[in-house]
Amino acid sequence: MSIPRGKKHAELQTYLEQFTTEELDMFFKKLATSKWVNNDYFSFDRLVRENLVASIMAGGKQELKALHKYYNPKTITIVRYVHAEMPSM
Amino acid sequence: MPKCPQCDNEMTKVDVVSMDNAYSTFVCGVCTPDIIETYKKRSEQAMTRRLSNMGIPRKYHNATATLGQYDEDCRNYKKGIIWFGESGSGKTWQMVGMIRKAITDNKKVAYADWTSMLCELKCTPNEYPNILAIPTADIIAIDDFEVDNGFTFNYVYDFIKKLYCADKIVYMTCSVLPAQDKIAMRLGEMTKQYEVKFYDGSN
Repeated sequence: MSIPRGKKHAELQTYLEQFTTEELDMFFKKLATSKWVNNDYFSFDRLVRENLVASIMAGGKQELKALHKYYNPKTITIVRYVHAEMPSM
Repeated sequence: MPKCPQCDNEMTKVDVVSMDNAYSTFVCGVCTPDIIETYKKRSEQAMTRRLSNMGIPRKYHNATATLGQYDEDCRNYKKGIIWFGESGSGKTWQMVGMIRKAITDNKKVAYADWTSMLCELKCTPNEYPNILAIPTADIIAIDDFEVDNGFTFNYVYDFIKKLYCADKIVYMTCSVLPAQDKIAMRLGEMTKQYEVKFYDGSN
């Protein structure tokens, strides 16, 4: 995968500047083990366009909390029996 | 519960929704046995029309939110809510469920599909003041919110800043929490964030 040039390079730089060094280190570690590393559609352009740092980092609550000090997310679980039968009580 | 002045039986509380209002009233199911069903039917018709008028797709009109899973501040309209998670996890369903509750509690709600707004903005950026105008409603609900880092970023940031300064209650669904610092700071203060996951017995 080649490093973008010109305007796209500037956009990539601007995008990555909003993250700290620690966050980027964590992101690259996670990227190395994520599905994206073998995905032909992954590109730096897509990284910027779809804010993939946040997506890839959002794999777990710990990583998500580390990504942004402003959020304190909780998880809610919705039970939806689409194919399986409702369990008997 | 108050008692019926005619038959002295306990009356039933009924939530009534009309096209521009919502209130609770007490009716006697003994003296007027069909009245509760009539109120419910008419309220549901009004609710459906109001959701349609707001632009909410029909498939969500019967949505319900799992209220017990939300903080009290969210249930009492002191804080907005961001639902985030995978496609199909139930984010919009939860949001419309909360919108229905808000309407029943006589709150004014404005709804927007963010993808449509963004497309409009990209086609006619000079129409920005109209496209991203802040509604006067109590609650602003934005479905499928996302922030790209292209030329629309400044418009989007300005919109979020205005919502923040106007102290609006914001409901929002998105696939991931917005990461841009200036937007995250404001949304983090205005809302509680919930990652929506669904369980279907197989996962």
